[in-house]
Amino acid sequence: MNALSELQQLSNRRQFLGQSCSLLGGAALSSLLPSQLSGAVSAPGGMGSALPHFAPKAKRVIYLFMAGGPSHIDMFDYKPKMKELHGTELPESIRNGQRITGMTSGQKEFPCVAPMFNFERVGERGTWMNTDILPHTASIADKITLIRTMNTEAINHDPAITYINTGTQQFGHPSMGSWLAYGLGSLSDNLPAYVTMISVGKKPGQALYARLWGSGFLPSQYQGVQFRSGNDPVLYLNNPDGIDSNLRRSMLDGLGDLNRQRLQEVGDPEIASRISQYEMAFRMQSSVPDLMDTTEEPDYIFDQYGPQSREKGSFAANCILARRMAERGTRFIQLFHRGWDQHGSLPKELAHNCESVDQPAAALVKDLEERGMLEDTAVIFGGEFGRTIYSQGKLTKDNHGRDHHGRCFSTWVAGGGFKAGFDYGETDDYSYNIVKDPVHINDFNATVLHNLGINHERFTVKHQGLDSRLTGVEKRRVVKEILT
Amino acid sequence: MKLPLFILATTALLPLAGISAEVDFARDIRPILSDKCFFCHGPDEEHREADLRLDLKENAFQAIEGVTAFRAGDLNGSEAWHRIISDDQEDLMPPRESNKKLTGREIDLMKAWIESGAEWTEHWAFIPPVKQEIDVKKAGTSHIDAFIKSRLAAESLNPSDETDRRTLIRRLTFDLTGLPPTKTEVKNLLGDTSENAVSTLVDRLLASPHFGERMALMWLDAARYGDTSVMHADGPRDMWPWRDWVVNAFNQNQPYDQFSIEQLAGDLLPNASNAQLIASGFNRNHPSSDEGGAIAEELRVSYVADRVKTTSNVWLGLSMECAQCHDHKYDPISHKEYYQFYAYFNNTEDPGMQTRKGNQSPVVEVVTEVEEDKLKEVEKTLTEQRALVETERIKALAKVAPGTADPEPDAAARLKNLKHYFPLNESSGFTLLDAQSSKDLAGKTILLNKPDGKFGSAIELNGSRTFEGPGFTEFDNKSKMTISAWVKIADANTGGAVLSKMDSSKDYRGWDLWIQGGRPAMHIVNKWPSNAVKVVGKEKLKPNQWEHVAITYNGGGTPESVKIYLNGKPIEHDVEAKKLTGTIKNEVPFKIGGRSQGGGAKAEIDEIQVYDRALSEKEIEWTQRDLTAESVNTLARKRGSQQTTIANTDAFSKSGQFKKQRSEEILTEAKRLQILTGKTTSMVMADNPPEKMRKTYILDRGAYDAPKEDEVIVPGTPAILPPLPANAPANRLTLANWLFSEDHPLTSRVAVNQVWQLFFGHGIVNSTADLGAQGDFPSHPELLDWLAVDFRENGWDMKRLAKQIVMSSTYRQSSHVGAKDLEKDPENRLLARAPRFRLQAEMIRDNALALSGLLLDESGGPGVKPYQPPGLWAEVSLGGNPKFIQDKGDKLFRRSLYTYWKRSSPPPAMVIFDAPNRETCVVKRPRTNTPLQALAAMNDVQLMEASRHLANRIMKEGGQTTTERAGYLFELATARPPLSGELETLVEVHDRSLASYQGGPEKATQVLSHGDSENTTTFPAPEQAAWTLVASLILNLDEVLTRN
Repeated sequence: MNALSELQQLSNRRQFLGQSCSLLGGAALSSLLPSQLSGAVSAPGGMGSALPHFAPKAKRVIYLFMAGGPSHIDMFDYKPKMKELHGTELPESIRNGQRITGMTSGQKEFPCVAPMFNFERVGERGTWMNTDILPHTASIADKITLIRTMNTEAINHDPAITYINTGTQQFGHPSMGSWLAYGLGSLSDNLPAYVTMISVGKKPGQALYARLWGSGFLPSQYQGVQFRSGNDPVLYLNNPDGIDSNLRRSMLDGLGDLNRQRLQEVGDPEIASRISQYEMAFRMQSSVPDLMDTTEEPDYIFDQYGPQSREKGSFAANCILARRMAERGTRFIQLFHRGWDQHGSLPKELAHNCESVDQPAAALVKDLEERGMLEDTAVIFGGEFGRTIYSQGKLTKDNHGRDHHGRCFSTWVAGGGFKAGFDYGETDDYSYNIVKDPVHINDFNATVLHNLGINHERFTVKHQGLDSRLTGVEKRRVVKEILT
Repeated sequence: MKLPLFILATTALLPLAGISAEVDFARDIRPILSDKCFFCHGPDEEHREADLRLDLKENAFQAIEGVTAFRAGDLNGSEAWHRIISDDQEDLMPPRESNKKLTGREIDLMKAWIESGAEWTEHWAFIPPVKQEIDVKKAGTSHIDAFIKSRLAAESLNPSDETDRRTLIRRLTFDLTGLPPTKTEVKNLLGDTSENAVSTLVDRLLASPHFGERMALMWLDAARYGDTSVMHADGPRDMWPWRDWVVNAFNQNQPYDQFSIEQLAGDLLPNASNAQLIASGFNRNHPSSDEGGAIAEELRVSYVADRVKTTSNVWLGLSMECAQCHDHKYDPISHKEYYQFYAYFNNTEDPGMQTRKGNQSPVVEVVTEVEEDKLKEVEKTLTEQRALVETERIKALAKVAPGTADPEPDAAARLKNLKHYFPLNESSGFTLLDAQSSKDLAGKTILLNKPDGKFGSAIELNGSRTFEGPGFTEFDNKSKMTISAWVKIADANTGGAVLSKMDSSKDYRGWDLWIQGGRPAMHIVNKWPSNAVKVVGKEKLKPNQWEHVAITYNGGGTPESVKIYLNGKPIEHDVEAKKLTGTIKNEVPFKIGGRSQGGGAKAEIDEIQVYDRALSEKEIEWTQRDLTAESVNTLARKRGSQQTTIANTDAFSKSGQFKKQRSEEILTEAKRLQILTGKTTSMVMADNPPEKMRKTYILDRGAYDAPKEDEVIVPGTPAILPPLPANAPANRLTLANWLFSEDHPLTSRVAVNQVWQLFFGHGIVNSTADLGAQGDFPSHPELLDWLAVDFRENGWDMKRLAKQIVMSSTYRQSSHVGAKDLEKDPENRLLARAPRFRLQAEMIRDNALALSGLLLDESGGPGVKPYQPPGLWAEVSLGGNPKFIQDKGDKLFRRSLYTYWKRSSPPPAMVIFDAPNRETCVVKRPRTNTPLQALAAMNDVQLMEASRHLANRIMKEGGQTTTERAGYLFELATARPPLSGELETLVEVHDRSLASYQGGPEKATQVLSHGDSENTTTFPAPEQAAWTLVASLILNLDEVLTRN
């Protein structure tokens, strides 16, 4: 059956708006329509004719989110001078009265720590990178823009991770992926527009929250659909034992039949929408397992993504799935990898984390490139903040920790209209303060929207009287310098 | 004045297509000014351009440097008009960079308005509502219907006929109780031919205890209620007593003013009852954090801001939160007025840094009814037993032996400083007599004395058993002290605290007697490790034998001030912390067997003595002796008072009768303690006392660390709203009462609008939480006002309001959608038909449980954890904890209102059906229609199990033939018999399924295995399975998921 066309014939489109999204202000209502027709796995162009505002460079985003605060100093923002600073006290002129978290504010001494790793200049431009633990990322240095001056006002996990993912530290706002699902819809008619997956380092570490992929004040169909590695990759996807797909089909035929009879009787187009949602669900029951089944991926792919890529639920396995989703039309794919909060045992734990993410992240970029998809897929690698140059806890010969640091941290981006082989922003010798070209997290979000063809200031939804947007109330800028 | 204008609806401001209307400033013009102009020409002083305000009449019509924005009737003389139609990008308003644009229709409206005389009124919601009386008798209709019909007539629409009774009872039962009607209830209504049949039905439903549960569903979203703390660890908390209070308040039909006042300021009511204190927990439901690195004040400010936002959204329908960082852009609420309102909530006691484990003080103890009865009973027994113990005590005292020996020289001097002495000679029990202070120590767990102590019996510490009690001597960093005891360790390398008075949660403040790798040690701590002394003896205790440990401290704050004695001889010590300068006083009790939290040693212990003096080496030697025996042996007339007490205590412990009575008393006391300590608390609001009142300042840009300390802000309400009564105290109670003052323009409108939304799917004002300038204009302003005034005049009677609405013919219309109607009013704002909408998440689950007979009709209590897919909590929670442990048995079948709400991972089947995560106030849920909902409804084990039980039910009750059963099932779920086509379809699905299951009986067994409940019926499995599938189909039917 073709529920969609039936639906379109039957219904006055505005009906759906009134029934389903009446919390939104007037302007947004008409824009919601196309995606509303088919719910979370909507047709392209959620905002209708309003979006994109201009020709997009990227069609989709894969956001590799390292939750917990990866140490920019030990990964991307190294300075040879740090060796001289090692063991010396952080000068007040550098700290400059900045507030620090309750975890080290009682500390008497703030000895600087040079990374206990080997760094080399990599790529044609010779940018510094940790080649001990990021050898694969080093190999794609010429494909990425490395931003060393990301910054946020938040200094603790919960507010910081909420801030970067929703554009504000206040609760109740949509996540970036939800904004995009709402604004752009899905490129697929049987997969959600916005998918998240979670993998865990050695220890789960800091918490995540449903709000990070939640739809906030947008209708809940725009929230990220969490894909999982178990038997039910999407919650409630599988038929219960004892109901095979023939029986399900038979049940759905009966259900559709009854609903259609009712539709004729009552005339409410919402019933037609319900019919189409059930059909969509049925299609997902085959499209999602098909997506998740990587058995036909050739061996060289697994080799490329590294030894963990055959372990279900690993970051590496999720990277392969992310590529498969990108191929099938998911707009925004966010992989959370937990366990980056190294208050202690940093050298060991960081190496462990990188072992899980370095190779697959680099492989993803190469893989997309080989398939000709990198140019319209933005791959982002970063966390909610960085870490301090000074040691948290005792500094020993081979061990130390670092506290949270929001004044600067590093994020890399590849493809999707971002420059290849480019560095942006400079920090001081201590990788503590920004010297040149700051990129606030909402500047960054604005830039990502820009590459998707969206003017972040015009992409608003009225909520409690305000024209709310992903990038918050402050003036933010698109960082054009890093764009192709 | 108004003039006709043909309007094409292109925005939601006027929901109707192609209707004629008149320009109404409040409805048509102010919203344009607000949305397109106020940002730069509105209340926000800081960002105001050209000194022009278009939110104030005098400013909008005033000449500024010879230019006037609006001149009534004079299009040409109105500068604003030229600006909005200008071709010049420089002149055009709104400017390009605002990303705002006037539509053609808006320009037409502006033109018509100016030309017609530019009538100006205050924003409608700030003008107190007035009741427009209608002669309802003459009109032959209710007020509600009169207002609705008059608007319909104006739009050439006709109301629908009354719906059939079957649809009506299902609609009413869901709307008022959240549950489906039973078959009997449907039958009863159909059989009731009296005129009052519907009224009787409504009264029955309003009186049902499920009414409160249904209303609470709405209120819990608004109150951002959850069972966890949200931020960082998102740990558990107990706010369910508050939730139960809400259910009960709705059931008791507590007037809405009282209901509100108790929630906003129950703690400030004179002689506040326990229930009123619990009610005040409304404003403790906000997210709180325990994140180690967080800055407490930053958090505390965020809690206060949350209370302001929630209170203003819920009761005022204003987005006051918009004025936290600057003047409100649209509504007349200044930055300063925000902080005046904020000041009401800024004097609260609860700290910024809160706990991840349970409730953060201030709390109130909650005694459930059952507990209360038990407590009374136990206390009665205790009184009787105490009298018996006292009798035996007197008898025992009479038998105290006279003694034979002269007292040791100097003993009196030493014993004068003996503050506490635990001979540990009682034979059993879990309180310990302090032979010196006569205060008992109570054990956390039952602990048996070891008969073979050093002298008499002893007790065994296992690392987790502890005794604790109040009234212990409070030593400080400059106090002198001696602690001595006999200790027997089993393991040569044992470690932990033997005795302590130390608060582990506050930097280990306090002191302890510590064993470290078998060596005796002591901590004396202000703040570990920066301000503390710790010494560890260099010699080890021998395992499995009684060794005497004594430690003296002379108050010096250095390692040298501490001496450690092993078996009477001083030993050398290592220093692990060397400087103590701050206080060691704390608020935790003295403990034997551990610290305030954990840290207990595994050892036997006997003869604990505590002195408030550093004893000399010689005196230490004496502490090794059997003090009880010495005291008893000392000649009675020469005994010091300490020795007398000790001798008496010994006599008690030797009297069989005393011990027996005392043991019983102790057991009863333990029961009492168990009831008391097992008792639940609920978080409440409490203000700091006047002398500790927190000062409020404007926070620059809303930042917690940028208070503008040049001006102290006193509590107050926005000037646009009615004044506060003169001389009222500046506290939350005054604020709460003010909301219900007679001339308040908002509270009553906001309340009736929320209730209206429950029954019609949207409010009369669509933006339920925002009645400000940017909110939607009411679809029926006169009706809103009439209801608002009527609600207030009739004592804020919630059930009356609900009945008034559901008895209206507007509510009772058919929900069938006509083509003309759909075209003219697709959103159904005018209510020419009753709305149909999908049941809210909780009702979908409750409906399935009710139809299947699984629903447990029990109200209240802690949240329960029914089925959810595995791993969801673990994927997000801090360090993987806490873990989700699914409940068993009855708890799987409670109403969804009682489902445990972890806010970082809320129940998935609820969220899929649009439930908010409850981190912030939500007064209107979205309503979506998605494939994930279809998957959940088809495949959730909870619903599969319900389908199985529903199948069993119809096989038992629904007759013998497939047709009979299918009809029965259909009618049970929809309250109407199926049409013949519908019946055919059901039978077909059944027959196909049956054939399939008969061909594959193992599939049938599988279908019947879902859920924890047993399958006790004897029907053949394939039949049962086929009906289970049909039942599942029914539970997925649009009509069943929908309130029609």
